[in-house]
Amino acid sequence: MKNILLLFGGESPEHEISIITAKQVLSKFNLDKYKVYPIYLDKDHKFKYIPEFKTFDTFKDFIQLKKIDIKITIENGKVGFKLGGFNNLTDIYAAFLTFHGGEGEGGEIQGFLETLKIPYTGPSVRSGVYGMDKIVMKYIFEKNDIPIVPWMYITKKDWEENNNNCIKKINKFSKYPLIVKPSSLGSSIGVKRVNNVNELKDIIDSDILYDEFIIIEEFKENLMEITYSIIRDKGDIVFSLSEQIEKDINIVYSYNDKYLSGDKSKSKTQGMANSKKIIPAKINNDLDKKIKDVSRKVYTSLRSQSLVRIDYLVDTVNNKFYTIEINTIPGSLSFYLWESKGIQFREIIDIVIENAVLDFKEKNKFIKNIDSPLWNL
Amino acid sequence: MNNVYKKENISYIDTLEDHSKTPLVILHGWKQNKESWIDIIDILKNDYRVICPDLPNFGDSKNPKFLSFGVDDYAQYLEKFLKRLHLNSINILAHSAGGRIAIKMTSSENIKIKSLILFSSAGIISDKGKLKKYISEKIPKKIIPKKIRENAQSRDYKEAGELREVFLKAINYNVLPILKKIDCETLIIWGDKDSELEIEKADILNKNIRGSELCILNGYTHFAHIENPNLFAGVVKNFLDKNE
Repeated sequence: MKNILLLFGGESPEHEISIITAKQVLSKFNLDKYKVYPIYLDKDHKFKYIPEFKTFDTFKDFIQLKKIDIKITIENGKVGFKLGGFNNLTDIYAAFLTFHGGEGEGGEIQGFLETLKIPYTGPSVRSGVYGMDKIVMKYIFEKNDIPIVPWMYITKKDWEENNNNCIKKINKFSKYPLIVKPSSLGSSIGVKRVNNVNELKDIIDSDILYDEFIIIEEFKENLMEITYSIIRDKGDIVFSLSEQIEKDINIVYSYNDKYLSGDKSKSKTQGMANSKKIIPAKINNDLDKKIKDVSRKVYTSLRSQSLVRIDYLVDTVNNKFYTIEINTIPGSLSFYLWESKGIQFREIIDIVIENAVLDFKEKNKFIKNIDSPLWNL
Repeated sequence: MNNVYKKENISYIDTLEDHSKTPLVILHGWKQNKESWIDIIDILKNDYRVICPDLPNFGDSKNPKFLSFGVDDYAQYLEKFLKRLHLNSINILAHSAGGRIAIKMTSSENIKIKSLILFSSAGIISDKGKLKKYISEKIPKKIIPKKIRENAQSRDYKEAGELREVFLKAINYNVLPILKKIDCETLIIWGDKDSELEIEKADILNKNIRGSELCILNGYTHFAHIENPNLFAGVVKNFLDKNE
């Protein structure tokens, strides 16, 4: 039996989405093969072992949640839980990460697990950092001839010291409309299309509360958004079905649009944010091939090692496309795009775990310690 | 093999196993039956208790009293049937003509609909449909040549046989006024090659149901659930899991 730590939650605006993915993944583990320990990182940065993770109610009931106080010890590839009495440390085969955004996807948790010598799924420390920092990502894309929309960035410091100067730079960069987004947040949070200088000022004033770097991009009309999920299986890069997401071109989606559009608790006067997607995407074979070729470059240049999703903006009229970003732990692991290809969720779980263990072994083959004569002097 | 039972003159499949999740009830389309959903049931039963009845007048659910059923009667009868199964809160996946009944059931006071999935749902009366209805019913038979009148009648109407009354009541039932009142999570699924119900109806449903999602299956028809059960079930599962 292979012991798996299922890690989820974390400090992120996508905290709740992470719980949903964890729940989906948990129900799909082959229990003849794995013993799964769900470990929730709460918003107070405490790890909590959730032995009975059957419904979401556990996480809705904050009082009950606070009461869960099972001491956890994690060290050098092992984990232990203090349930009443102290139990022995258990060998961990791998940690399965279903964080979305924040420290669980951006390299921090990955560094923690590296230190503890626990193999883990999802991005490595480096690919987590590259995937979370849109500025670094764009530099890597440019260096690798991966098409992206023209962009620039400003810093919080520049904005606070002289916002007029920043506006001048932005106005010189491109005409309106523009897309403004914080550099390091996922889930479209703080992303907005602006049509004039007043809207620009408003969104930057808001976005600098989230991040010290703000990205400004040209707005491209009439593009459709397409995503592919990609996985490495026995050394080969494999693509899922593509998905096309249709949005109102006048709106760049906020977190609320993306995740809370079905929130019926909102009053009817708040309008409808109805979404539309097409599976597989309506693009010709030539464009599909071109995007897949670029996806391979994206995957390798960002040092990806697990299952990812890559998003593109596609101009079908001119047969052109632009790379938006990589998502290193996609929601639901994009399982429904895989199942239609005959790869079941259960197999996806096996593949990413075995990749994690293999990558861990490979990484540890490199010489890390060099005997130094320093202390012998 | 799925378990088949009979209650209230309704023959139905019930996978029974409770997964601590809200059960899923599947309503099939016109002249279809519960067996047409076997592939989907086999996939979804691993995560959800699935109940799939033969709707009254179809499959093994036959009774003379069903021959006068309108959409409201169907909804009421199903509610009664589901109550007999002690179900108070359900998810519904409804195909084609089953969609009208499901939409009507969202206003039920007896059963709470947690999530609604409308797959190529009937219930939106198009301009073409209105014209056909007008030609076949309102214009005196003497004025319209027999051939034109027959062309205006749909295949389902011609083949309805003893179910003509049920058919006419169904196709004249417009769900539009109910859509705005739907307050459960709703997913609309449509095959873009659907030749039975045009895809524009998907947009009408999506625009009129608050906060709904539309998923178009590219390259699939009115029977996408049979053409690619894995894809279809994956889309359904992803939606239900999110709302669980």
